[in-house]
Amino acid sequence: MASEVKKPSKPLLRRIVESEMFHNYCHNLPAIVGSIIIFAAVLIAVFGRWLAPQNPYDLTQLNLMDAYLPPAWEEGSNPLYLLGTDIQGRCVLSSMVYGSASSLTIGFVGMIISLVLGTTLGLISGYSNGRLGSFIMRVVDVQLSFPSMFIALVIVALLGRGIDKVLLALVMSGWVTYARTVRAETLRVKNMDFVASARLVGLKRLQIVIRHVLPNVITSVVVLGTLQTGNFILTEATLSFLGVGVPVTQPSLGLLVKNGFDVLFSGLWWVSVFPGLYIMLLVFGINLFGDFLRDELNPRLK
Amino acid sequence: MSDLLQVKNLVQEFKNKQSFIDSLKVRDGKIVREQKVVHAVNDISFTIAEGEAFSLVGESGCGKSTAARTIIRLLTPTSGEIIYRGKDIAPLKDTELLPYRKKIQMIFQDPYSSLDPRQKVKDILMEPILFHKLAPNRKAAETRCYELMERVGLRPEQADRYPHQFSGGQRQRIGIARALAVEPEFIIADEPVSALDVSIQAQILNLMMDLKDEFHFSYLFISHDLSVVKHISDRLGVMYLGALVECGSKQDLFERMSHPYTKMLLSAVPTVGEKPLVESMEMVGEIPSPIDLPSGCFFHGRCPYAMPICSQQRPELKQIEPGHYVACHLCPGKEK
Repeated sequence: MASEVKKPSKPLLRRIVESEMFHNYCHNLPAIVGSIIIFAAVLIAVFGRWLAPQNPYDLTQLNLMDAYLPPAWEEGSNPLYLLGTDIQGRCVLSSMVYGSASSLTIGFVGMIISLVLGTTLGLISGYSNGRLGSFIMRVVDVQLSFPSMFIALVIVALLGRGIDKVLLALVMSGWVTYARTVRAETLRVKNMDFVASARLVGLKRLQIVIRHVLPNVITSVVVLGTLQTGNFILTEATLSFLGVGVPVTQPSLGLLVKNGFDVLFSGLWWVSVFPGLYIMLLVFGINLFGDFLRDELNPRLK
Repeated sequence: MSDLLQVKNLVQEFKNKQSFIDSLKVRDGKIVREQKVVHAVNDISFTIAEGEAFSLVGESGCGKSTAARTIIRLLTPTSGEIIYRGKDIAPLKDTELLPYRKKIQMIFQDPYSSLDPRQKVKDILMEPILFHKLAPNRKAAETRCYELMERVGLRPEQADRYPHQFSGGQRQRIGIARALAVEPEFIIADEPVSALDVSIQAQILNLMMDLKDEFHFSYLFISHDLSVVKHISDRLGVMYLGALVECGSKQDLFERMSHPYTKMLLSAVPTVGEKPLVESMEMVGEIPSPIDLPSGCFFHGRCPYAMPICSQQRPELKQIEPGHYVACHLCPGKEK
């Protein structure tokens, strides 16, 4: 009897472990390295401040006598400051822990906002495909004809520094990629027979888009999102380096690089180089994992 | 038998998508805007009786699939009536069509694009049941879904699988089960077996005919394969360039075909060992463009018997014997 059929329900964890993607992940060294870097970076950003040697933004913990101490393995160093100190005696390692929190927040939050915005507009534009759809695509075209750095500079110049302004600048230039990809995928999916069949069930347009179109376009969006997080971290670092990014009170890795840039060639290399290397490592890890996701979820992009 | 569906003068035209600049043409020294129109379905009329299997046949591109999609109202017809049980459903809006979505269902040609790759079989089958509230709760819907799977020859244990884990034939069975889920009275099957390999075709066709006997629904069958059509239909209509050229019972068409195009189609059916259905008539030329329709009879350019009148006047569909209609100047019509 049909009603006696047992439902083979496995726990989620078991399903993940047995999935093909997990198997491929286990055999993909770059993907493992990338995800470990991301995981570690997130842990450090969230919990690192309780382990950091000092809070570099608590003035009572700073001692100007400790300014420009070299990293621990060089002569004249203080073992307390593993990666040395900057002009105000702030521990470079602690600054990096605090700064990476800003960088990662901007990267992830910016990616999520532009992903949601771009995907929504892309779905509207692709599924309705009327005047509104064309209008959205013309906005995308205009947006793409401006260099994203230019847009960011204009916004920050007009509105001033701040994490929220940097986010706005990143989202303004970031959503278009999603809108384009999602529109193209939507145009492909909406002509497939399963959409016609959903219409024959009687589903409304919104229901069709959410239940049938979105799940079929979301994978390429996830891939884009991962890779864009890395780009956003880099763009934010560039903006901060140029002095138009985050405020001095909420420094990011880019601002740390800038702080040490003036003394980079005076032998005090550690102030700039360590935060710079950390940016590189972060983006590298994110890109490694993003490449893995791209190969897994969207073989056509290979 | 009473009429279930009556299609009257159905016309489906599409405006060819062109940019504004491209649509400008110079005519007699003036610039005019001319939009190209694709005439996919040109004034077709037929009826399908309760419990009947009616087939539309014709070459690729003759508008049979468009006709099917218009009748089921995936498309809105340009003009004409689609009378289902006495009610014209051609002008209805999507929300007004909801009661008909339960009664008329469709089986699609391509079993690969007709199932959502991100949905489990169970969810595909339960969607219409839950949407139309045909089961009191989720549990009952699930039970119903297992019954459907068994009925179409799938094992209920496979309910948690995704479509890509099935073969083409099995996918088509899922498509049939989905159409059955709402207990329809009328099923439109758009080339349901042409994407399958021959050994599977017969199984699927037999399944469809068994289901018809069991649930007493009517079929509108779209096909280009005359051997398939002969196997399953009671009556059929032959389409050419969006118009019906001949329409009648299976015996009328396979034994006393009258339109030259029908003869041409039937002579193209390959036979092994047996005497061919009609004397060999070679297919000449290609189907003309549905953008610039030929004058007069659409078939005159390819017809071996074309007369002067054929290029001037479009022949009407006339009854030549009870229930057998032909649109040809060669066939004198009989008054009823």
